[in-house]
Amino acid sequence: MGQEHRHRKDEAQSLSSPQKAIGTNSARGVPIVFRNVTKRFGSFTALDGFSMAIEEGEFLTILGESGSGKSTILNALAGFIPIDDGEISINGKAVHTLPPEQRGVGMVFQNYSLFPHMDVADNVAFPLRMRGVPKQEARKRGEEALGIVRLSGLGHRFPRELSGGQQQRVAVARAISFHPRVLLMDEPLGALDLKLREALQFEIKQIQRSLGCTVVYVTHDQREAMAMSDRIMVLRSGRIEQLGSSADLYDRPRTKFVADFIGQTNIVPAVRSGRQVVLDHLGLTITPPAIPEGVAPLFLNLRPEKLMAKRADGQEVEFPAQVQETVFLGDMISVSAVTPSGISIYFRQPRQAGFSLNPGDAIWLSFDPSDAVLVVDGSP
Amino acid sequence: MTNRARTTALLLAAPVALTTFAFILPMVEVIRWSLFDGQGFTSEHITTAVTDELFVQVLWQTIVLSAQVAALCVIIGYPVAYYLSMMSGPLQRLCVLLITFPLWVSVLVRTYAWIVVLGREGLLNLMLVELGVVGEPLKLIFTRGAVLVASIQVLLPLAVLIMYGAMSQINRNLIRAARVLGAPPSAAFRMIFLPLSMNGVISSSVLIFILSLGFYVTPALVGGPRDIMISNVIAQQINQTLDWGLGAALGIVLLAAGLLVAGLTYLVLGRFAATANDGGIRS
Repeated sequence: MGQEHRHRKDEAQSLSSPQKAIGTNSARGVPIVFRNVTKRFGSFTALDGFSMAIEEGEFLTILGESGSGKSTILNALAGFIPIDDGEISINGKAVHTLPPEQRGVGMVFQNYSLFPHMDVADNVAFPLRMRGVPKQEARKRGEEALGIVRLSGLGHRFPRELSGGQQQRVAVARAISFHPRVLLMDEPLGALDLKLREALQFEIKQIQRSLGCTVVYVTHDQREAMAMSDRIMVLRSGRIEQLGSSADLYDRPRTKFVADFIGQTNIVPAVRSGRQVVLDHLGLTITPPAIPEGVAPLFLNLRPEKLMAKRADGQEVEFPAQVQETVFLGDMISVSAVTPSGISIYFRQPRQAGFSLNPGDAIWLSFDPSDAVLVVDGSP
Repeated sequence: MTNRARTTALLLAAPVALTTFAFILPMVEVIRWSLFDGQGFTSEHITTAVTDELFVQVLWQTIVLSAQVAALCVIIGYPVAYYLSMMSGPLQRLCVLLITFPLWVSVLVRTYAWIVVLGREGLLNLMLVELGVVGEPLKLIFTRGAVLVASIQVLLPLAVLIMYGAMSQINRNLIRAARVLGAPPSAAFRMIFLPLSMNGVISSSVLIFILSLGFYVTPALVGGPRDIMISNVIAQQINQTLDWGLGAALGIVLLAAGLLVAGLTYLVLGRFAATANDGGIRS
């Protein structure tokens, strides 16, 4: 109990202390390319001719559910699993035939994977020692890395004497102590609680910015992906569903899967009618900014914050609904309503909206047709 | 007493009774035999046991042989346990089963089998003579070497299983982490896997050592007259000389020697493995 409490305090202090500048020895990130990479596990094909390009110094998050192939990509990049076909290159050099120790990447694992029989200083100095750096200098540079993750002076402790958050910071320090130009992170915050996760997201982002290394970050948490990434790659069944910035994916999802996966949304079936779409469930026909080509089924993707509740009919683009449930969120109230056709619609209402909503209230929901994003069901 | 406490007490009663009657009482009895005779307290038996040249020599021989058996079991068993722990799925289960296979056969049968293999007209000698490697059959059976080989064969599966158990506790991500952070396979093994497997090595060697201290059948059957172990001497005192006091005293000395060596091993080797399996989360 007491120890747990002390850990909490350590974390709180280290979070409020100023970030140490790392300055002189920052390494530039390097580009990473996958070209037609195929990986099979028995009869299961995890990656089938997979290609992607990660830019130098980029923070790229691979976002997907378990089994989407995101771990396969990371393990292939680290060199833990051989690929069956294609090429992986780091900084223009093919690395897919090299063993892990020759790829020069740093890596942070989900379960920390600190060496339990070594103290923190030896853990952090390990990659340096493996690169032939003399013991004294390795420990000195290790201490610098510990400073970056705000754990200066904890070098003599053993991993088991640290809290989960501290252990993961040590794992980050160990991965960056040798100034790798590529840093791989495999769900590094998955085992931590929400508050700590949010604090560490911030720190990892800062460290990446000051080091300038290329980061490939794997997660299944879309909020984490949005908070940290330059670009997010949404992966589904070993294929890139969509690749873009957080704002791209949120505002302009191309498929129903991405729209659903990233943030909360309302998905309403739509039918094309020339340059308009008919929304049977809402009793509306609107003219959206763009309609995807092709024959795949269309859906309207309408974010909850784009909807406005009204007491009475008035505007052009609006539809009736009945309030079902309201949830107090602090600054906002989250409301679920149901249309006469029976589909659920979620929206948010500012607390100072002038009127309060109660279950059973009949309302009108309006939106701006220029906010209407149409997505397709299936591959883009 | 609450219901729960009563249940616990009832459940514990049987094992406590069993331990008391089958272990503690006999132990007390043995100590009594070694320290008391018909007239009362006597230190004669213990004194004889620790000063008589023959007994001391046999005891020392027993300790040396047990240490050799333990060391060889660990050295031979380690690579086997390592490969077992690296396997997965049905193949691993099959191989673990195969390792336990010799344990299904009685020690007596396995030891007799060595007489067939190592005897003057045994398989090994026949082969060596036929192939012209040696002119005359070698003296293999009834030697110290035969005791060593037969004891190792009996105890090796245990050594493998104990080390395999410890090794399969090692988080494989640690090896991956070491590799990706710059360690070639040999360094990852030396710096990560080996130290983390030391707990298993220590448990295994101490257990094998203690088990072979008490070996009785194997040296009696495949060893020569000079290769007797302390258990054989104790049996002699009990069965032939009928000097139960001296037999009991020798037993106590053997027990003390075993505890001492095991304790020292833990103390010395334990330093290398003190933190081996702490910390970290297994994935």
